[in-house]
This record gives sequence, structure tokens and C-alpha cells, in this order.
Amino acid sequence: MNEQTLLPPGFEDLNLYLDWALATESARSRKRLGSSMEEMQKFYDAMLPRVDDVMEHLGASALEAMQPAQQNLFNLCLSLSEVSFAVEVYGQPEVPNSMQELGEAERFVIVHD
Amino acid sequence: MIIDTTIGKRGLTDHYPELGTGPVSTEPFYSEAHYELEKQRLFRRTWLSIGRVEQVAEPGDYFVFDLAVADTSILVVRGEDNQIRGFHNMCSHRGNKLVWEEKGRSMAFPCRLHGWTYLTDGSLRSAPDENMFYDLDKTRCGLTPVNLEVHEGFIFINLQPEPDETLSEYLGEVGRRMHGFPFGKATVRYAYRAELRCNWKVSLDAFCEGYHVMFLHKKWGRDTFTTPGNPLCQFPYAGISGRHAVAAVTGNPDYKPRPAEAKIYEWATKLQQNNENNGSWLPPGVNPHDSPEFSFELMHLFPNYLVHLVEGTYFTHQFWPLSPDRTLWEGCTYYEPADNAAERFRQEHLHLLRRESWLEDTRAMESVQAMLKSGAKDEFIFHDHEMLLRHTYKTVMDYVKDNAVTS
Ligand code: FES
Ligand SMILES: [Fe+2]
Repeated sequence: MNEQTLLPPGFEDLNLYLDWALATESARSRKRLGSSMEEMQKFYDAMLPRVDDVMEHLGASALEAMQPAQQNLFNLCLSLSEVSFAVEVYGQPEVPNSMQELGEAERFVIVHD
Repeated sequence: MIIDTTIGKRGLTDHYPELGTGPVSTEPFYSEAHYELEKQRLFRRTWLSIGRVEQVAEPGDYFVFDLAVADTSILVVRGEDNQIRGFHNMCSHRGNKLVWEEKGRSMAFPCRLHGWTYLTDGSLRSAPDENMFYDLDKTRCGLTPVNLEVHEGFIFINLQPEPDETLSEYLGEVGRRMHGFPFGKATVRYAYRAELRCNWKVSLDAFCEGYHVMFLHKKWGRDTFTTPGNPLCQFPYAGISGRHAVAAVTGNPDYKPRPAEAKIYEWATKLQQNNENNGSWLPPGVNPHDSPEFSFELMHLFPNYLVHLVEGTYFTHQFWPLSPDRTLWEGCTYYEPADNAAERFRQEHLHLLRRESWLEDTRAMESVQAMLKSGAKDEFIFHDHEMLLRHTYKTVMDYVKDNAVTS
């Protein structure tokens, strides 16, 4: 598979952020906790202005009907929601005053993944 | 059963003189002796919610629920006859834990140790080498049943040999208040779980008051759950009925979504399907004055279950004691299945919002517990709107003293 097929045509600019195209909430949360604010800010700044285009492209599709490339694109959206808390609210990856700050993030189990 | 409050004016607790207004002892929140009494006199007597009917939708569907507080494991299974039953998950031969899987579908349950095999109604179908046993009466070797009843799709069990009261008698008025909320439509569940280093009541109490919202959740929760008229998240209404209680939590209708969530909500609304038949999920008694400042109604189903009714969704907390200072907590959000990606995106954001606040709440619970045993303070002091905590305390003590009232 060449790089161009990892995201649907027209979204090649987001290929830079494919490491955020993660399928589970646990993976997205772990990625957030392991990233610097600079990295998250870059992803956020690239992704937020593309939400309209992404939703235009796949917002109305049923989840089961998505192609792998669309699934990747949608997972980028879910990661945007994840990083938005760090970028817009806390100014740090971890939830302040949580077990994440004690390095115990894994004690908080995401059962649905 | 609802008392409308006046924000900023004390007096809610005064409607329930049996609760008193004084401080309460911290001892039941860490004492080993008290915990033993709770195990024997409380958790073995009350009805306990352990799941939803959607988990056992088809004949043969089962799940296993380990109940440390009663030193047992429960097998819940929908029989071939479509009836949902509960059993102690223990083989009749020599006591092996019968089903080890958390959930699944099966019409027969063979024991791993010597192959005794049970049917979905709990009866023993076969025992290998049967003729080598002396006077084996297979009809008396079924699984040991536990009392199981269903209310609004919630599966409850009761470990008394003969329950003092039916589930609907037990839940009383608060149980009836749930009626009309379409729990059965919200079949998609997102769950978080943690083994918390605190007493189950410390954990429960933390979710039964709004006083902490302005402080612990100051980064974002206060914008969501407080208004200029109610800056300290007092309850617009609350009420107690028997062992159970409800309280309404304020929502801020002027909340300005942040940039990412603004986009998420905008697209979910724009692409929403079945717009026309999406009537209100809230029964008429919930938010009875149709206040625009309503966020959700919290229902405490004593002892250890909180159900929160929200427009279009519901969420729950449950607290399972593991020891005097350990609790298995689970927080779940339930949605209707998303029919498109935009709605799924919105649902993701909504449960992440809850997750972020629960991450703040859970650390604070452990931080309370960490100090309790010091004995430096032997009392808690309760605010008027910490009334549900006072009510839980009294109800627990009534059970432990063995003079529990019925509804
Ligand atoms: S203990 Fe189950 S068959 Fe022996
Ligand atoms: Fe909280």
C-alpha cells in the first residue's frame, strides 16, 4: 500500500499525522500522555480546520461502511477530541490532580476497548 | 418526593429530621469491624444491581459477576425458556468455580475439574462415571440459585435465602420514578473501571454532591455545571424516599463550547437522523418545571448504584467493596447506537468529558482515604446539600445496627 492510500484522496496533508490514527481509546489516550504539548498543538492546529471537510466526506456514513482509509481519517477525528482537553483546557498532557500525574494512568481501565 | 430548593438558602436537610444535622463519625469509612458488619448485614440483605438485560439478550447468553463483598461469584444466564436466572457460580461436586469466562453464550456449562455439566436452568445434566457415586440424586445437584429480579431492564440479585421484600417494594418510589426513561434504547455502553484505594462510601459520596465541582473541577466542570445564579452547584431539587434518594444537577445553558467540541456538536446536529421522532427521554417527574438549567437527575439506588438520567443518554456509577479501603468502581455511559460517524464523534467527546472529570474525582477519593486512618479527625461535617451523604450514612448504620426500615 503506498502512502497516498492511507487516507482518502484530498486529505494527503494529514498523512503527517497518521500516527494519531489509532483505533482504540486506550491507544489514543496513551499517545496523548506520551506526547509533548508542541506535538499535540501541531496536530490540533492541522486537524481542527479540516473537521468540516472530514465530516463533509464521511460524517453521514454508517460506521460499518467505512473503508480502511476513511477509518483512519475518522480515527484522526477521535484523536482530536482526545488532545483537545490537553490543548484547550489543561496546557499539559495529563489531567491535573489525577492518577495520571502519579504515573498511574493504567490503573484507570478503559473497559470498552 | 421532591423538594424544590432555593439556591443559597439552607433548609433542604430540615425536611428530613431523622437525618439530623450534626457531624458523623469517620470510623465506618475505614474500620475492619464495621466492614464485616456491612458484609454480613447490609450487602447480603439488600437488592444489588449487577447488570442489564441487554447483556443476556438471547437464550444461552450469560455473564459472570464476582462479588467479593459476599465472597461469591454469580452466574447470570438466560435459559432456553427465555427466563433470566442467577446462580452461585459453584459446582455441586466439590465446589469448583464453574464458569471462568466473563461472558459468552452456551447451552451447557461443563465443570473443568471432573466434567459435571449443567444446563441453562441450573440443573445437572450429567456427571461422568455416575454409577461410581453412592445414591447420587442428580435432581438435587443443580446449581444453587440466587434471587434475581429485573427492574426497567436492570438485573438485581438478592442473597437472602428468602428476600424480606420484592425488588419493586425495595426500590419503592425511586424505582417508579425511573419508569418511562427509555433505558432499553441506549444499548451501547462505554465503561471505565478502577480499583480505588478507598472505602466504597468515600467513592459513592464523591459522586453525590456538587459542592466540589467549582473547586476540584475548576478547569472545565464549573463552566458546565454552574451558573451565575448557582455558582456552587447546589441541587435545584432533591428528595429522599426510604433508602434511596434523588437530586438534580444544574447545567449551564450559556456554556460556550470550546473550538473542537463546537465543531463536533455542530456536525452531529447537522447530520442528525430521525430528527422528528426524537422526543424527550425524561419522564415527566424528572426536571418537573422544565428548567433550562437542568443537566441531569442523579438517582441513588441504595446501597451502591447511581443512575443519572440525562436527555438522550444515561450514565451510571457502581461501587463494589473489596476491603475496608479498596473499592472496585465502574463508571458507564450508555448511548443509542450511532447511525453515522458524526454522531459517533459526538458520543466519543461526551464520554471523554466524563472520563476527564472522573480522573479528577478518583484521585481525590484516594486522597481522602489516605488521611482517614490517622484519626486526626474523627468526624465529617456535612453541608446542607451534602444531604445524600448524610442519608447514606444513616441508612448504612440502620442496616449495621439491624434496624433497617423498609420503604
Ligand atoms: S468440582 Fe466440578 S466436577 Fe468436580
Ligand atoms: Fe466530580
